[in-house]
Amino acid sequence: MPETLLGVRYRYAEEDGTAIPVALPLLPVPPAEVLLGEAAALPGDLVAGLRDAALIADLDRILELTGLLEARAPAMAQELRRLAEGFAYPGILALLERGTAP
Amino acid sequence: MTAPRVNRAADILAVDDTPANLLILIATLNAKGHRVRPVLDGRLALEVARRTPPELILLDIRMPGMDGFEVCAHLKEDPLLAEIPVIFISSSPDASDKVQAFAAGGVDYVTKPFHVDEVIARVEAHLKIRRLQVALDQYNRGLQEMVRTQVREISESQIATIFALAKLSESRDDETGHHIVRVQRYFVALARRLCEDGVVPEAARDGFLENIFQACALHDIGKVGIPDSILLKPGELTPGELEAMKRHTLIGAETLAAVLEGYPGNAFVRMGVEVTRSHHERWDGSGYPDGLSGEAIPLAARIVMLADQYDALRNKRPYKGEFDAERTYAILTEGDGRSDPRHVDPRVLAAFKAIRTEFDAIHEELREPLPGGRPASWTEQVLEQAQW
Repeated sequence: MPETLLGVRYRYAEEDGTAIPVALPLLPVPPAEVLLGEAAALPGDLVAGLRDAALIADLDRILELTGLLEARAPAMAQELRRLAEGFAYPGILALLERGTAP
Repeated sequence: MTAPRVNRAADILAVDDTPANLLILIATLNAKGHRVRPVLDGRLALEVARRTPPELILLDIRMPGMDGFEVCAHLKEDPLLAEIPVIFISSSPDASDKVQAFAAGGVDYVTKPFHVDEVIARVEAHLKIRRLQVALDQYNRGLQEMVRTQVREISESQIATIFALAKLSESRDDETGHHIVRVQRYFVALARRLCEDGVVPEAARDGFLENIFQACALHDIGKVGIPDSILLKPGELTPGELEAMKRHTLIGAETLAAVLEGYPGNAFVRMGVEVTRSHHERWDGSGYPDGLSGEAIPLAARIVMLADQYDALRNKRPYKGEFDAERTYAILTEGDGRSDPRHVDPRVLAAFKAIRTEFDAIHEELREPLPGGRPASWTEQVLEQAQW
């Protein structure tokens, strides 16, 4: 046990009333206009697949589909990968939503 | 039974608000071929699980927002998710947390920082248990269905045989040979209406009514013991012949009562005895063989009495011609000196008045020989009508 072996213990955010921020990987966020431009050009079935995968937290599928974007939408792929590696599924859904909004 | 594949890769939902813990679980379980869906908070985990239920859930206890105990409680409330095994993971070594985890429905408890081999061992043990449970449930359902099918087949074949024997006895005095089928159809129509009117108690409607319906085919089985000289005599019977004719109720009931001694728990035969004995009893007590009146007459016999009377009026008998629908209705509802509405349970008579056109339609439909002409098809046809 950490308490007995190291003299330390886990401390949880709710114990002192603070929320834990989602720790996203420290990658640069691509400019919004670049993301929007690339997102608007994404094939519908790919967007639908990413959306479905995000709704069920299917990380493997998100990363697989993101891999297909590398060549045609590198900024979008980078941002999706950053969000996926931080398990930020609502962020992925919001990004896809913004990209496909009329 | 095919052996369940208990070692195949699983879909596991891992819920922990610490990304580093999720990364360890992903690496550990992916290495064993399992797919891990990592989620950082309890509320999102519930949404994700409802969309695509996982095979197993690894659930942190202390998380901001909804904690693991609350998540587990919601899982157990949802029929779709309740059976998914939940393994709690927590840094708390407190016995009270472990007790609470099991009380909440968890199947196991792993203490953080976890040892990867322990996590794998526990996950795979619970996956195996769960898969064996699912396989056992499927096997049991298959067995139950097999038993149901066999019981149904046996029941239907027995009913068809009984029906054929009743029909054989009936064929001696029924020109078209469809009297039993018609009486059953009238019976079904009346019984359904009496259910709608609340006369038949809710609790008595399923198996009980089905047994009565089958048993009503036996009502005249005692005629097999009546001599042809009386049964087929054209014109009025003498008082002595009438007394002999009345004995068909007792002959039938005594025959079935002997059967009942061998099968005392058989509801169908028990009701057969009641209907056979009492279908000539009258509401006002003027019937035979026991002179019962009112509610003392079994309900099924009261229904059969009217159905039988309607059929006798509508069809030709050795002692009378056939009457049309209007005349038959008038005789049953107003009387003709021989029939009297006071003979009939008022609620059964009210049901008949309400569905008289249905009776007329059944009579018209079954006036000619039935298609197929074999007992099983008659039974199937009548059974189809009996879906209350």
